[in-house]
Amino acid sequence: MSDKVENSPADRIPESRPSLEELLRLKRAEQPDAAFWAKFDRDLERGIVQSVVRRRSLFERGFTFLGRPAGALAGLLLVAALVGMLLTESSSPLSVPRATTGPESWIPVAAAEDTGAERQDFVIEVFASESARAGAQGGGEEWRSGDAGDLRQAVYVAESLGPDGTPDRPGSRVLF
Amino acid sequence: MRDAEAAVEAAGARAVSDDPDLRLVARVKAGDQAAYSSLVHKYKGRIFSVIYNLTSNREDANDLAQETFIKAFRSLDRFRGRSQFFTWLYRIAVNTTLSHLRKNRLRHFFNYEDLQEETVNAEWLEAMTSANRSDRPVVLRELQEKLNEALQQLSPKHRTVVVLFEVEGMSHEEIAEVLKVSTGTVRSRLHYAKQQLQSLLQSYVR
Repeated sequence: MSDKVENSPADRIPESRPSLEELLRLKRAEQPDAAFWAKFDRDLERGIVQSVVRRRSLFERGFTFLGRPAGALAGLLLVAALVGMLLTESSSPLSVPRATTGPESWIPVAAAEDTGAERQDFVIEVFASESARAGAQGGGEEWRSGDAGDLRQAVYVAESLGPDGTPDRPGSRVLF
Repeated sequence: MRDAEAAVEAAGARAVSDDPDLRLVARVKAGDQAAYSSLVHKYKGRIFSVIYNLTSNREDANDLAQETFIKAFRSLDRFRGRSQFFTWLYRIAVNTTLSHLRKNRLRHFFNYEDLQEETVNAEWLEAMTSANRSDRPVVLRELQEKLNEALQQLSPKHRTVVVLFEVEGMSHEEIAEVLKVSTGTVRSRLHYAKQQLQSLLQSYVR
């Protein structure tokens, strides 16, 4: 009997059905549970951190590095080295004064003298100690302030590179 | 001229002090990233809902909601407060989702003929209308699936308007601001979209 009533045409009258608007509003109830949101928050936090790390370009990192005392010193030495080389080119070879902390920080560079080799652009790189590198890699993008005293950075300036691009050519000399 | 600039600045400062979202945005811009968590917490449900209703796919909705909040975070410096924060956020969510749908068009393709055929067999709809049925949740879920399928038959533009208006409860003006179209366009798209849905779901709705 009841089956008959449920399946009767009277049950199928359009008024017994929801309107389209009512049906659409049911979708408001479609929300994930708390566990979903907990994972969502964790993933989002990680995603934001990763996006911030990616945004920090090499330039920014270099800029940050130069903002630190050790980095600033390296920057000054770089400028001094460039000025020295310019002076060397315009006059007789000059002996560039040695500087900084000790022999372990001395880095050989290609000679400023014209050796007749084909000239290429300046190559400038900034190095740090292995521990500082490990800190930078492990922590993402930052040079940790605790490593500043441990840094044995040097500025590596090469000029008149050979065709293979290596600066270790005869005539190399210590800049600082 | 200076007075005008001062007035604009004063108005901006007033707006920031009046609008809790803008206060949070100002804090994020000042470096307080925890303030962004408050904004995420406030809007994640609505943003997820919009994206889910546009994609009908929970995994896609999760990924796109994440992408939306990351994009918003990275673009926050460019948010000037000329529109409400949530409008701006919705715009990012909708644009991100529509872009995703364009790239993955085939993935959400449904066979129109199959849907039409199924709509003829709608006896479970009558069951849904009788109260105290133990299978009511199941029936409701089926109904939702049919609705999702019908929504996917709409073009992304029309679907967006329906979702924002009917599900999210936004006004025509707010939708126009999110989509950067006129309110007339919003009304027109809404009218057409509802006609389409009514036709697709004729066996399920009155």
